[in-house]
Amino acid sequence: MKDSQKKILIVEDEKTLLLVLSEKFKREGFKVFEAGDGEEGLASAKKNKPHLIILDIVMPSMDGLTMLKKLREDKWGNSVPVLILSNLSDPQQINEATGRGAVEYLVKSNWGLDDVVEKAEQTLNKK
Amino acid sequence: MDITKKIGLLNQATLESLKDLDNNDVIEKFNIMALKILEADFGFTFWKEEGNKSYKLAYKSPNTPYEPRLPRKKGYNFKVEKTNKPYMGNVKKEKLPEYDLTPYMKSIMIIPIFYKRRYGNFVLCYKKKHVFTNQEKSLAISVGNAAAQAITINRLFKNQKKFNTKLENLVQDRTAELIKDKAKDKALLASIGEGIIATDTEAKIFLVNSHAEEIFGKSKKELVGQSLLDVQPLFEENGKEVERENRPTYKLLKSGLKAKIKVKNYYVVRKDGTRIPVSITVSPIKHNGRLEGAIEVIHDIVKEKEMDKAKSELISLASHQLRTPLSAINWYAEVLLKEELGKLNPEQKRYLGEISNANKKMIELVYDFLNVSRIELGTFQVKFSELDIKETAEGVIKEVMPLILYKKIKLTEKYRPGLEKLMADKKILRIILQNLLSNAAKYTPNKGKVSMEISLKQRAKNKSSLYIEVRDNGYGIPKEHQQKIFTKLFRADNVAKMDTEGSGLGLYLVKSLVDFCQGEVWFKSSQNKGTTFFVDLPFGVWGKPAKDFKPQQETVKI
Repeated sequence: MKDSQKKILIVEDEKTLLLVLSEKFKREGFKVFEAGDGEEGLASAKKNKPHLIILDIVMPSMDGLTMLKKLREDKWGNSVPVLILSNLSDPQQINEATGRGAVEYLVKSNWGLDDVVEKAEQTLNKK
Repeated sequence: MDITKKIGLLNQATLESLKDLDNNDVIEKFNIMALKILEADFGFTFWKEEGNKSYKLAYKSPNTPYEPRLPRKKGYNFKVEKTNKPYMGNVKKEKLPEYDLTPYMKSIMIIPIFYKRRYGNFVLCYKKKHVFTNQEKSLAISVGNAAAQAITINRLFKNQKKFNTKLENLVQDRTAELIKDKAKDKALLASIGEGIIATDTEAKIFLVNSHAEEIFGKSKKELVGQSLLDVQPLFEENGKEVERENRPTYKLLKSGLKAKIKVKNYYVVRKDGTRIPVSITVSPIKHNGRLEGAIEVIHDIVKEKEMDKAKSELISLASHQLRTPLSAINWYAEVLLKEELGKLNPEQKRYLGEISNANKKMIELVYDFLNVSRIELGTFQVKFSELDIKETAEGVIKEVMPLILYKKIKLTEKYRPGLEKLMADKKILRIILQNLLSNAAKYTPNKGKVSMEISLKQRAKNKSSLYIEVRDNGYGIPKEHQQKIFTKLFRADNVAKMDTEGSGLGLYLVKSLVDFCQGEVWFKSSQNKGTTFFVDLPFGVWGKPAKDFKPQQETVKI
C-alpha cells in the first residue's frame, strides 16, 4: 500500500456527506475513522491518533471549533494536521479556525471530492 | 408778601411739580401759587391738549364766583395767543350780559403757559381794580414758563416711564418666551433618543441631556464643567482606548473643521463597567462663522448591533443549510461521473453530467443570493488579505475558461504595473471580475473577442483607484434596457432568449458591491457591436496598495 495505511478521522454530522467522504477516502486507500460530532471526534482522535483530521464546524453537542480548541490543548492533538471542511464561509469563522492551527479551511460546495483528497494527501506529504 | 417770598413760592411749586405729579396736579399747584404771588382773588386755568384746538377748563379755584366760560375768539385769552406774553388790564363792561365779567372782577391777568409750545393760560382775577407792576409782569412770565417747563419735564418723565414700562414689559415677555423656549429645548433635549453633549472650544462640557447621562452612566454634576476628553474615555472594539488625537471632538475642535464628523463602532464604558457600542456625530457650534464649541451626539447602537448580529447569523445559517444538500449532490454525482463505482453508459453519463451542472449552477446562485442578501442587510464583511491582482484575475479566468474555450473566444488580458501587491478583499474583486467576465463570454457569439484590462488610476493627490475594463464585441445591450441593466433580477430580452441560465443577479451584485466600495460602474454598449464595462474602485473600503498599508491585525492566508 502506497500510503502505508494513512489513518484519517472524518468528523461530520451530516450522514450523507460523511458516507460519501468516508467511502471516497477508503477507496483512496486510507483507513477511515468516522465521528458524528465534536465529542465523538475528540474521543476518536485521542484513541485512534489519526494522521489527519477532516473537521466540520456546525455540529450538535460539540462544534468543530470547540473540538479543535480542546484537541490543541492535548499533548498529542497539539500537532495533528486538521483540515476544516465546512459550508460556513464567514471570515470570522475562518479566522478563528486558522487561529487555532487548522491547516486549511475548505468550503464544501467549492471543493470536489478529488480536490479534498488531493489536499489531504498534500498535507500529509508536507508533514 | 415780599418778592423773595414770592420767588420762594414759585421755586417751591416748580420743585414740587417735579415729584411725579400728573398734569392736573401741576396745573392746580401753579394756579394756586400764581394766585398767591400775584395777589389775585380767584382764578382758573384753560388748557389746550396737544393737537387739540379748543380749550377746556383744567382748574378753577374753589372761590371762583361763576362758572368760567370757555375763551371766545375776541376774548382776553386770545390776546396772549400771538405774543405769548401775559395780558394785564381792567375788565370792560360787555354789551351782552352773558359776556359781562364786571360783576365778578375789575381787573384780569392772563398768563400764557408757554415753553417751546403753548399749553394753556392761567387766568387770574381781581375783584377790585388792580394796578399791575412790571415786577408782577416779570413774575407772571416766570410763572407761565416754570409751569410749562414743569409740565414738559413731567411729560418727558412720563414718556420715559411709559417707555420704561414698555421696555420692562417687553423684557418680561421676552424672558417668559425665553423660559418657555428653554423649557421647550429642555424637553426636546430630554426626549431626544440620543445623548447630547455640548462643549466649548476647550472640550469643556456645558450641556448634557439625560440620555447622555444614561449612556455614560454619569450624572450631569459629574460631567458639566469637565473636559469631555478626560471625563469620558472612548474605546475601540478591541478594548483599546481611543487616543485623544483620534477623538472626533478633539479632531473637530483642533482642526476648526466646519463639517460634521461621524464615527461608528466606538464603545463607552459605563461607571458600572458595561460596554456600550455607540456611534458618534460631532458638529461644530458656530457663531458668526467662528467656532464656539462642539456638539457631540451619541447614539446607543446596542440594538443595531444585536440586529446586525442576528441578521448575519441568519444569513450564515441559511447559507450553511442551503449548501449542505448541494454539496451532497455535488459529491455523489462526482463519484458516479468519475465511474469510481462502475462504468456508466454514455447516456447515463450525459444525464448525470446535466444534474451535476445544474447543481453547480445552483451553488453559484446560492452564493450570489447570499452575497446580495449580505449587502442588502448590511452584513457584508470586508476581509483584507495580501493579494496580487494578476493572480486573482487569472484565478477567475480559469473558472470562466471552459466557456471561453467552448465558444472559441479570443481572450486578451492586460495588467498595468503597480498591482502586484494589494491589501484587499479578495472576494469583492473576484465577484466583480467573475460576473463581468462570464457575462462577456456568455453574451458574445462564438469566435468573438473579450478583453480585460486592469490598471491603477490616480484620481487626486493621495487618491487612487483600481480601474477595470472588460470589453466584448458581443450582442450588446438594447438601448431601451440600458437603464435597467443593474436592476435586481432584470435580464435583457435579446439575451434572455439565447441563454436561459442567467439569474439576473450578477450585475446587480456588481453594482451593489461597487456602491459598497464607494466606486463607480458604467458601460458603453451598442447592439450587435459589443459592450464595455468600466469599474472604478477607489482605494479605501475594499483595499489599498500594500506598500503604504500597515496591517493592524493578523491577516489570514488560505
